[in-house]
Amino acid sequence: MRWKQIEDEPKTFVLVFETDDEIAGVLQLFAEGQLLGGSSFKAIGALSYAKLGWFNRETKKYDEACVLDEQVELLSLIGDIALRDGKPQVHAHVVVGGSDGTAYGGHLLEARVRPTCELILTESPIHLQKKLDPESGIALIQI
Amino acid sequence: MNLITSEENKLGSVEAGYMSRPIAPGLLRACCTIAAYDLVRTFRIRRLGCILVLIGIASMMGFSQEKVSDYVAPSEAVPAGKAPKMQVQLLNPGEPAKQYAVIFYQGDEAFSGLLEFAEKCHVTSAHFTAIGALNGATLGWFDPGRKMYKTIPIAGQHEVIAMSGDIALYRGKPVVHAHMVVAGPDGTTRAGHVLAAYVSPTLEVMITVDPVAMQKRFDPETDLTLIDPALR
Repeated sequence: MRWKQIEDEPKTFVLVFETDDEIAGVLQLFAEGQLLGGSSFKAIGALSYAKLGWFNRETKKYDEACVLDEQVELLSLIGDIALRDGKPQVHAHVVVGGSDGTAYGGHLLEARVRPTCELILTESPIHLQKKLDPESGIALIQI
Repeated sequence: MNLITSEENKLGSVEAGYMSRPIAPGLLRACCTIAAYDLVRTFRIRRLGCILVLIGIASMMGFSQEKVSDYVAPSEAVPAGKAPKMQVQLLNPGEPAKQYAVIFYQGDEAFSGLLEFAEKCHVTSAHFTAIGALNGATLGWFDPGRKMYKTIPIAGQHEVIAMSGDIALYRGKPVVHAHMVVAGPDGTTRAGHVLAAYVSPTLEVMITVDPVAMQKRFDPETDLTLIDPALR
């Protein structure tokens, strides 16, 4: 993955992923390296593998919604970054489309790029904090 | 789309026009049943007759379900006060554009909440993206023939995969326009124009508020309010 800061106000980055980069992991490392805590981003590209999640309210965990071990278009990746116990936490959702245009969507668990993924990220000076929500069992942004 | 006053009477008459539709399926069903019994008598093929009757009834019932309540006029008012847990954080007070995080929690109706945010923060022009999850939603598909949104009910827990939209002014009041893609437990997706979305457990909306107001005008061809960049 290569990245470049393209704007100071608001602080804006372009991240370009390459073949075999795993988006969720690389983005998490980038967020930690840049100390991001109030960011939003969107991306498009294409993937050779995607694992998508669905939040199960009964178990309070993400179920594996579907695994696509094939070439798919990354039609929409939208997400944000907030701090949980001082550490950036990336939250992203994706829509992917197969060779016949059928779309699948879910919480981003794993996405392997092929050949590219172009992501624009805007960071704000004020950070967002996440706290564990006992009702849902996951950390939610608290203002 | 929302907050239109003078067009309400006109749209009311459009709705009344559709009220007569559900009567027709009843008559068709009766005719279909009689025709099917004639077939049985003539050809004495009882089994075929029964199948035809069942197919006729089933298809007519399917048709009669498409009634006026499945359509929503673009001017339908957005109910207020449906997102009591909504919280707003100004992320970047900078000029020219401001950034907000608007976070919804369990039970909030997000579309109503976004309009409330726009009104309270005096938004005249904005765009946003959002992700999260919901338990029940009403999406819409614009039917150009009827000039109404055909409702797409979304039942149960779904991920909000991609929500994007904008806010502009119509007659001095903000109007929210949003689309979303949602996914169920197997990852299959449904999508449409957002009419209502019941958040569960959260929806994170990142909004950029732009300094120059965007104005909408009523478009009689579609009965929608459309953004007109030339309007000041």
